[in-house]
Amino acid sequence: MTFSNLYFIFAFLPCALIAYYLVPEKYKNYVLLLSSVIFYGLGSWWQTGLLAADTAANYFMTGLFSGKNAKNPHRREMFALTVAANVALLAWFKCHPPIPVGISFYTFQIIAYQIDVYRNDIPRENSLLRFGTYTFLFPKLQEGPITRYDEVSDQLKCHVCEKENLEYGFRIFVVGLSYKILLADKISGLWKQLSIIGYESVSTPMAWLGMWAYTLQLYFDFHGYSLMAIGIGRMFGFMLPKNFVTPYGSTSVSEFYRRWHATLGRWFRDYIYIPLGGSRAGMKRTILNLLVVWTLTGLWHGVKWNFVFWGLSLFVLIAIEKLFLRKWLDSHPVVGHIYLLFVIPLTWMLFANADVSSIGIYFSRLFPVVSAGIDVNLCDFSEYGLRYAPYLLAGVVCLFPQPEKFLLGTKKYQKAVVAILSVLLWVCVVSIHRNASNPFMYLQF
Amino acid sequence: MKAFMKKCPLVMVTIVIALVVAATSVVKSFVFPAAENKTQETHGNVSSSLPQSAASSLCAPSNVAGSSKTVSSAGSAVSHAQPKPGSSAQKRASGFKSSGKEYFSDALFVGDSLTEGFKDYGGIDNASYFCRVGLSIYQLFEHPKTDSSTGLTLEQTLRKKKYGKIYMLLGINEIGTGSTDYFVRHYSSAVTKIRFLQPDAVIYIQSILYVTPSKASGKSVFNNTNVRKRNSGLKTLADGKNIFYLNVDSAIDDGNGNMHEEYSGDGVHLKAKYYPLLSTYIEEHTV
Repeated sequence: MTFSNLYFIFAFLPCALIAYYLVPEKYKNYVLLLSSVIFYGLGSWWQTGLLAADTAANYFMTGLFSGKNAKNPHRREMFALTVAANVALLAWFKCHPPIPVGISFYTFQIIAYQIDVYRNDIPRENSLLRFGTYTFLFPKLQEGPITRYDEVSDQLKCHVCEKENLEYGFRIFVVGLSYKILLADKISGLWKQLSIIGYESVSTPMAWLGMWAYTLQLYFDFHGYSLMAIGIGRMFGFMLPKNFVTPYGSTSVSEFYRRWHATLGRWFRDYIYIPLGGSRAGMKRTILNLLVVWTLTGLWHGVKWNFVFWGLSLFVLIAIEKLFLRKWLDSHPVVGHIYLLFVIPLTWMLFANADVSSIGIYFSRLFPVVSAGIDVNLCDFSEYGLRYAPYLLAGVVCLFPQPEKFLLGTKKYQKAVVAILSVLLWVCVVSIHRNASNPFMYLQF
Repeated sequence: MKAFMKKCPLVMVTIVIALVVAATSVVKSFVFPAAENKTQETHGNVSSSLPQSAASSLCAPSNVAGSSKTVSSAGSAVSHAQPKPGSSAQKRASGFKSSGKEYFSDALFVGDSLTEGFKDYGGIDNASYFCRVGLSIYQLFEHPKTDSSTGLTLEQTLRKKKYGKIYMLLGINEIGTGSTDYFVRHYSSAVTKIRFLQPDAVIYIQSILYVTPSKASGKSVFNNTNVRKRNSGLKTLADGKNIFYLNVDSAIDDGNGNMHEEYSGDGVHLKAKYYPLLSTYIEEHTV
């Protein structure tokens, strides 16, 4: 069960919303929890059992270093043990696929909660129902956003049910759905085609086109999902945090990763980088802290060499920027923009290929200094370029903030906005109905 | 209710449209319950209606005799020696000879995405191609199944120019539709129609390509047992005079009746650098 499934949109979601709005306040969390359990359970019952056990265990263990046990002499050990157990569980599954859906996301949210409780930034959640509703909450269950407990807990305690949230949340959802179905899924055919042809036979212009197409595809897939999650959350009155803030408008890699998958970035900043000293303990220590963060970020995505190299490549770039490049890029924004639009897509090529040798082949097609490829068809660029041009161009336009600002951020032209969103929604519905749509790309993490 | 309409216009519009769509499909299923059965009948009638139309619109009576002969002699297949899969010294099947590239200047290659790949990477640039991703034997001639570059239907393509030889590579898209017999019958009527439109052309029916072992090991219908069943049926369509069966699978066989694992990125399509294996086989098996 995913957000782009027609049964989800027209059966599950309306039923969950109706039940949620109709039942009295004290039962609303039961509705949320039950819907979330069903949502997750339709995917896999053993994974649901795992999350339930995980939730219960963490609820109990958090109590051992907080609340009544706040003065416990061993609270530090209890806290460390709990966090270590969560990390171990996540690491074990990462090394033994199939990885339960959402585990990377919910484990990080649970750890964040526990760190916040230990540091006395938030009180321990005394209601297992509320805690369970938080961990299972279906809008953010599969791929985030990675929330802090206090971003959700108020709504769990006192459910604000305003019609404006229902409408606005639905609009956000439609934009996200359109990004996924009309951009990401359509563009994905180009990247798929490259692996069918075989990288060694791809012409150099086609290799560059493919790289930028993958860049667009990944962005609209994940940003689309995040908007759907935020939109659904909003329909239930939850204000989930933004995950993407026009990242491709950045002028440096450092800035990009504050605006791309922002909730993961801030998790690493708040719970790893800053506790290690951040950038306040001298340049050498700063570089070391960055190395730790980016190695872990790579591993979070997968325990495979290509993800480690991907994380390390970002570390190198960010370190260089920290040392001297950033100031220059910030003061020459045009260069910064061009730099970003080359460098980030190149790093995605490490991300996209699990097989390290094929990364080498792809780079040799991008920069054909050694070989001219094997059995290359020089017309491939024009053939696929023309075929995918409309979607690629639409994708480029939607990299800018204006389309979203118009559809979601203005009070004017409301009739036009409603008309456009309606058309987008039903075009998506037809497209989903016609094709087996592609699974969300971050579902594998 | 009015407040709801004012505050939630998009939700309201969506609910209304969804109800209309739902009502329409309910009404449609009551009014047109036999819609699915009708299409089956049309398919079934294609093969029987063709000879009649051939008789009514032809000029040369000998051609009519020719086409009906092809259909009725489907049983007597040319038995050409099947090269042992994977053997390095592949004996050329008897009756075939090698030809140079010039042989293909009046050739037409008909097929799906595999033929698109063959067009781009097979190296036979002087031939004509009719190909389209997803092309199926069940919908071969009609609109909107046009060639991805010319925009013409197969029928238009066959009426436009005279070809000396026509190569067909179809079958993998249809692997989940119909029985082997159903598939072969449709293939047979397609061949009959092509012979009618191009009576002087030699027709080469290429075997459906194997899939890789990893693709075949999945639970889907994409496995080489099904491919082999259909290929056996296709073999019976050859007559040794105008219609020939080409076992192109022998060029990509890994020795166990599969496509070599490394020849494909997705288990079904050949990688670009391996298409020359097919063109070499085709060049060495001409009449």
